[in-house]
Amino acid sequence: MRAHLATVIVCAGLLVAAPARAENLFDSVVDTLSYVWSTVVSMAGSATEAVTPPTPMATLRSLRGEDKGEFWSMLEDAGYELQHINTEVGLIPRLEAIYIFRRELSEADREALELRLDQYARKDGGLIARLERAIVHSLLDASEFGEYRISELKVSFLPLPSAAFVLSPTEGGMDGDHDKIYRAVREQTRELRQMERERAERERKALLRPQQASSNGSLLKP
Amino acid sequence: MAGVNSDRWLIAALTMLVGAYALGAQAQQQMTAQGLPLSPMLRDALAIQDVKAARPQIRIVGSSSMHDLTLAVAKDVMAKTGLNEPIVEAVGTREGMRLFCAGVGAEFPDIVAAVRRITKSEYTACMDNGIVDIIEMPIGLDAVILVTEKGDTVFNLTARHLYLALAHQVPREFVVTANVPPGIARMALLAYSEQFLDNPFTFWNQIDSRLPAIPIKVYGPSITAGTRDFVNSAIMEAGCRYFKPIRNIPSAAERVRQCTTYRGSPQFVDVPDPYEDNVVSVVLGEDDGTLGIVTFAILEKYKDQVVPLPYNGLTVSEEMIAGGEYPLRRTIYYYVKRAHMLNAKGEGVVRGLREFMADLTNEATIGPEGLLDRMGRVPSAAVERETARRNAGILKRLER
Repeated sequence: MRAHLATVIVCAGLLVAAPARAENLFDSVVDTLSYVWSTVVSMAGSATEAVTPPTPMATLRSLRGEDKGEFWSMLEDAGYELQHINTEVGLIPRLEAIYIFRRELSEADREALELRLDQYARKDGGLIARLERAIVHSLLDASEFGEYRISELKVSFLPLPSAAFVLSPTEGGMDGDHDKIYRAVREQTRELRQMERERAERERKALLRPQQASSNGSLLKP
Repeated sequence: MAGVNSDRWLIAALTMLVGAYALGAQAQQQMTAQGLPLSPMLRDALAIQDVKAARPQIRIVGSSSMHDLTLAVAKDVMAKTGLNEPIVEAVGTREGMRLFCAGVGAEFPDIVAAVRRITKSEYTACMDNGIVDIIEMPIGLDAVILVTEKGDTVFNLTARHLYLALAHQVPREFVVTANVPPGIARMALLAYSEQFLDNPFTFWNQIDSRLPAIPIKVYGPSITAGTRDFVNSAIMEAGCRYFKPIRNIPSAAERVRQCTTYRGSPQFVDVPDPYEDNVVSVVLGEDDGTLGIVTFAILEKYKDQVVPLPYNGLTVSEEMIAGGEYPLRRTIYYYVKRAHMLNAKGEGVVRGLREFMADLTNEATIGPEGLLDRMGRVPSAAVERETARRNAGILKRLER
């Protein structure tokens, strides 16, 4: 049990520090959480299940991959990106996902998301689904505030579902300065890669030259 | 006794006056309801106030797709109320909105016909220019459809297919894995520093091997048409939204630009205005697989010459548009400037805006079998028609 807990803590730390490296360890985190969770549930009895709607494993699995859950996928459509996941394993486990604002919405994005919310409402009228829709609606509404935007969203599922929003001043839309920065970074990256390619080409030629000289030399020999 | 008699006379005279007034008002109501023009003499007799309108006729701008409908409604209103013939300018939804939101006064239009909802930025422009009271009337449904000449190959398309076929630039990561000639694939592989490449696709099957091996050629609406805006948001943005390089662009403006910049001829040709009248004629007689982007009304008009292509596996029908299943359905709107209506003293920009709105939203126009239905559009649900009527009746101010 202690070893499993240690794995969870290490992997959670990795998820925060280096998400790419943590990718391979994700499955082991989920497996470990499954183990811990089943132990907790067996200790606490069926009452735990009644108050904890989705299990941490199901939630974690629904956060990633192509077939991610409807809610998480809608959060991404609302312009938010998963930053990290906080987990705590105990008698009352804690699981929260922290999303940060990454992308402004266009009018078409907003309309598409509203349509998706309507379709989701028709598909699932449950309590959790309602809460999920309320969160996405809040993000959509906030995207039209103008002076403020929700810069960070903390979605907790355990022990009870909740959402916390961090509002920050927009300091101007992304239209002007962000575009310039984005384009400048893109241009700079392109130039750097071009320079790198040229350097690699020069090195390749430099490497080939003595070989060619030696092969030419051998041809000249009688 | 004499006092009683004089009282009786007074009561009788008052009763007659009230009766005459009521009869006059009823006659006026009946005449206008039956669509009979009122003669100048009768108008004077009914004591219609002299109005001090700055312009003698209503000016309507906007969608060329809705031009026929606007003209029909205008004609109907003229016949019923004796108003002067409105000026109707088919300048496209985008240009129409720009003119509408430019200001208040006789030189600015009173009504705009739009094939899409007013955008947030257009609404803000209206507010900035003092047009604070806009009345929105969603009057019915329409749809955008891809058509080809009867007898040509019919195949299913999605937003993703169309984005990849029509965009000026497409994500490099897709080109690398696409069904393109080896030379193009190698070029895409080498350009690893680029996120987007100039669109290399010339045949539909290069985008998706399930599509036919016929050249990409699509005739679409011009940049001023509202249908172009709809295609931009409902097809191009929808098709590009889930590509990772697009999602990595933080600014909405930059992302929209990347998704809605079209490649040129021969793959995409924009048809000049009047777009609606020209698009079918250019598609007919072209090579197999040439497509046109048209509205449902145009499809209905030319259904013996063109056939619709399925979109997301669904072939358009009136029932599908009404039921909301067809993904490229849209609501059509009229927007009216309240500031242009006459005030109680009969002063203002133009007379007849209330009459126009009443005629536009009544069941004979927007209901089943009504004018709108007969002209190839689809009536919206009863509750939505009622909303349009209520907005017109109480002059409900649009809030966005």
